[in-house]
Amino acid sequence: MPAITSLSLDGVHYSIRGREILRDLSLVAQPGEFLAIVGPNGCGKSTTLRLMAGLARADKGRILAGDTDLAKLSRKEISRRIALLTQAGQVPPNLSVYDLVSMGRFAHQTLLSRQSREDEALIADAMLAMHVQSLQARRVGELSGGQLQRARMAMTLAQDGGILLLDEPTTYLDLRFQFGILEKARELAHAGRTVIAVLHDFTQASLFADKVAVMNEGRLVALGRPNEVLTEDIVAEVFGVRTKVVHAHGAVFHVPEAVAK
Amino acid sequence: MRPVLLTVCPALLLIVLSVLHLRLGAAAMDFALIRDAFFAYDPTNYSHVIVIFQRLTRLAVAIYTGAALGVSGYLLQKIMQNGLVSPSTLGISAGATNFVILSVYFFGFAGVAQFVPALAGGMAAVLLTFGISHILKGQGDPRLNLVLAGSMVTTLFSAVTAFVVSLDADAFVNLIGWLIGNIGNFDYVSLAPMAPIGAVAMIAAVIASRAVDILVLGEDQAAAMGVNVRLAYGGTLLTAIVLAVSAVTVVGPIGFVGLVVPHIVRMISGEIGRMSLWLSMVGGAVVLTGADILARTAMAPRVLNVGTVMGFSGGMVFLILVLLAARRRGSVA
Repeated sequence: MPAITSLSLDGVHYSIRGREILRDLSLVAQPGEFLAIVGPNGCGKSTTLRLMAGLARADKGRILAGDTDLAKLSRKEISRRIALLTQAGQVPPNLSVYDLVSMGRFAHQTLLSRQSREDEALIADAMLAMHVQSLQARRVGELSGGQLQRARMAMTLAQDGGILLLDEPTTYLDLRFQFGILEKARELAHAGRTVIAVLHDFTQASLFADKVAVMNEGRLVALGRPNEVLTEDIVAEVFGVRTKVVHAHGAVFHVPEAVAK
Repeated sequence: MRPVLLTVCPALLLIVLSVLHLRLGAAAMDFALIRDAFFAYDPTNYSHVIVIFQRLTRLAVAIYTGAALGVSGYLLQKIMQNGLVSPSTLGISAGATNFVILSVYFFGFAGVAQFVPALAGGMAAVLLTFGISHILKGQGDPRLNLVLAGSMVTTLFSAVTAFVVSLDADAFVNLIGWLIGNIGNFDYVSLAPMAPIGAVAMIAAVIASRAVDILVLGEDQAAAMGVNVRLAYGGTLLTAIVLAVSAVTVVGPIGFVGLVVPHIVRMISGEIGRMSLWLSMVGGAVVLTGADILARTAMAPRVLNVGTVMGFSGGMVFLILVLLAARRRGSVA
């Protein structure tokens, strides 16, 4: 098991060419917890994830893995602690699934080292966990969207970070695969990891996440259990749509008022 | 089994072509004579002198420059994810040629020292090409824009080159073959100092190969997996420019090797791993050795410029690639 820590943002400000993207953002995700970030387009969710993965530096404030400031770690040191699955990444079609998944081990290898026993074991585990072991010799270009996303997820798992970041992992996927990915994310969180995902579907967030952070215009609007946070008032404030909320089967459904019967 | 075959077969093909290269020419030599020239060299035997000092030296130049251009093109196409880029289509060759001509005209540079202006010219051309394609941003296919910018830069540099040559044509008489791209009889002299530079660049490419493989997944994804994106991209770009420029310094701007070879490699072994790097190296050597055999036999006893042969055959392949890219936008040509 990797060393697992919390991930926290502490008063983070971030701007690109003078335009403020994140304003005084503070947020903690604990080990064993699946945190979903929701918010309208352009609210800074993906940027938040980029900062959490150390891909950009905050102008002000700190980003901590446990009590270690990411700014003090090298690129590979960050990658050994934190794995990120980006949205719709490109994958060369000729690559085999096995080769793709094994790329996840890069941060644990030196420039000239070959794959170790440990690397091989973790690659096998990751493929097993995402049910892609039977596809390992297939070329990525031959996979369906759902299979490809599972293979990319396996690559992220092979990275073996205690903190797992997922940027809209279910976009473009059929319903069955959406549930498969999110169920896996929740399972990993409940097995002890810190999992943070940007999601755009409230119902999915309420079904799978332990906590939901609602963002708007670079700020945190609300943070808490799904049914405390995904309320009619907050949705109206953040998304500008009046909805009727329905709680059923452990999920929160929002139906636009204009079409609610 | 497959890796062994992929390692050995192209090498065998290169050996066969090399023997043909030594054998064929204005006068065909039989194998016994070639063997004697290697193992029982007789300086008074004119045929032996031709085999060693004309054909073998020429072969060495063809193998080195072909390999350097093949790997350079492979690296460029990989980091830019664009099947149309190469040392010639990005303007690197024209920039290097131009700076060399300027250095000869203004400072009387000669021989190996020409590598320095050539490198500066290659880098200046890439920067210009990037700059122009940035201006074209938002209009049309970005992959075609990059090559369009490259051809503008090539035209610009070639015009200046032609102008400088016209100022004092007599001074450049010895460089005419080099300007078209040619393997000359004395090119092996400048090959000697270029080969170590090329070897260092090749080692750098092998060391960076894993990081560059991951770069193909996109900058953010690669960085999140531990790749130093700037170092991997910048280092690979520099490696590719150094390889191309080292070839241009020896033989001039021979085009299309770096464009065509990576396509063949991708069909055989994909674009990931060190095997593809090896195939680009051997493939480049095979293509240029083959082109040189054609150059020396097609109109024998007249010897054509290799640059002409590559330009003609490679130009047609390039046209086909552009048409294919235009027909299926979105995927890498």
